[in-house]
Amino acid sequence: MTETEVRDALRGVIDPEIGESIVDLGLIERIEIDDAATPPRVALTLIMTSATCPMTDVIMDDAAAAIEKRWPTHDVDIAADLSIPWSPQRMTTDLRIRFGW
Amino acid sequence: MSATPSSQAPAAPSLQVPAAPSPQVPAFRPASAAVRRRSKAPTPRVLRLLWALCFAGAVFNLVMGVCGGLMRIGTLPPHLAAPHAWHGALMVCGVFGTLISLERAVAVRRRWGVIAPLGAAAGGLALLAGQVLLAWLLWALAAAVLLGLYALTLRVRWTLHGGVEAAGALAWGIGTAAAMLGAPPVASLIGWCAFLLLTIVGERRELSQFVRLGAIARVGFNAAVAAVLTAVGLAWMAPHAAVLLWWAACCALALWLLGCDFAPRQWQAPQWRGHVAQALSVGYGWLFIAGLLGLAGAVPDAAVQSLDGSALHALLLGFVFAMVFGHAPIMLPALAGITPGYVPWARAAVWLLAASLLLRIAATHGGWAAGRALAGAGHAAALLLFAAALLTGIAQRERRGG
Repeated sequence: MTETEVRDALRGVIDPEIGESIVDLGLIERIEIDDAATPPRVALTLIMTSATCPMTDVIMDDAAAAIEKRWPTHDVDIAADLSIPWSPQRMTTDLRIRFGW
Repeated sequence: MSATPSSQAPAAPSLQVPAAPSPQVPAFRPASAAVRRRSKAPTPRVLRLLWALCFAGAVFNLVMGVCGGLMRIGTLPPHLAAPHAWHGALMVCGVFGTLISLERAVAVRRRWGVIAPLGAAAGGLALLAGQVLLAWLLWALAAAVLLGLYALTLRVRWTLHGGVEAAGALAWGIGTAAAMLGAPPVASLIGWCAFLLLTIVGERRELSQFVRLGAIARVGFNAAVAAVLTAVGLAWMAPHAAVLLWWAACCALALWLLGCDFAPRQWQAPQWRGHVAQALSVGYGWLFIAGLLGLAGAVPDAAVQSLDGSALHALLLGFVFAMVFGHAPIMLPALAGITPGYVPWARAAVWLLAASLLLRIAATHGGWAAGRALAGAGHAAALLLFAAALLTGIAQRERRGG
């Protein structure tokens, strides 16, 4: 398991309100992988644009499901750090262009 | 352990997430207000029961509020005095106050947050039972707790959209205080309507961060929100001026939503995303029409009356219910863990509501009582059609095994 592979697995997780991948939107803050642990573990930290939107839990569940589907034996921890602001620089170049940046 | 921050992420200060192994965090007790963990433990049963109770309370308020509206418009005979008398309060505070508070209580994950939707739902029941003062007190409590939920998140990180939504909760409290203290009725109406309007535009402003907004759009939004808040305060002292300002702000925010929100750009998107886009866009159109109708009726002698009629229903039925129809399919998974399958004819409910609202406005202005009664039946049919579409979508998903 590498960070790139985790990122690829997460590419199919869609923000339900925007309709775009959470990877392309820049909502991935941190990926921690510990293959030496028993069981092997991955910890993912997301950021959210709103702290009062219940969609956060849906996105966290979808992200966990995407990782667990590809790595069924890994222990998956997902957290959302609400203190980190989102900025357009976090988006992929393609998406920035599509959204007029 | 390798720890790789996102290559695209700016070096923003943050509260660090503890390294593995993570502490076992019980559901609905976040490690801090800043870090929310996905809990592997199920949500406590008591809390789930309380949420279900709140939702049932909202549905009961909805049924009573809609019955009251149908009695007023002549679709149903006026047999129930309380729903007839308190139709508006039941709909805004009993239904939407409960649903908005429930959404926030679930999102912020504080047990005490459930007091807000419980209080809002109970306020409607108190009103129906003739306990008017108790209803005002319960809604004031609900607004205060909702404001507390917003304050908790804004302390972690200030956001414009969060501030706007918090101002909406404050407007709910001010509108309720106006009713309690015997202020001009228009003060309650504007306060309560501002609660819904600011909550909705706050949410849309949050999503609009993703698209590039020019300086005029950014400043214009803030100015329109400031106008709404000014109208809420002004209504206590100068109702006529407040009404004019209120409807002008509605027009401005409608233009902002039509021009800056990305929903209208997704009109042709497939499945639920297209449904959401169409419902929201139609709703923005109704908000603009509400503003125009309100301004047209807000000549000094009729200013207060303009809030009771076509403009008000273009706002609360056309705009607010379009938001409900648009957001319900994507909010159900978050609030109830249910993901409805796509139902193409769910969009028909949006258009039926719009058509019946057009009929209502025409019949009102033409003095056609039977047309108004028919329009009321159309409103009720739109609500039932949408409920049927959602239930069909849920049943489809159940058959496919989730």
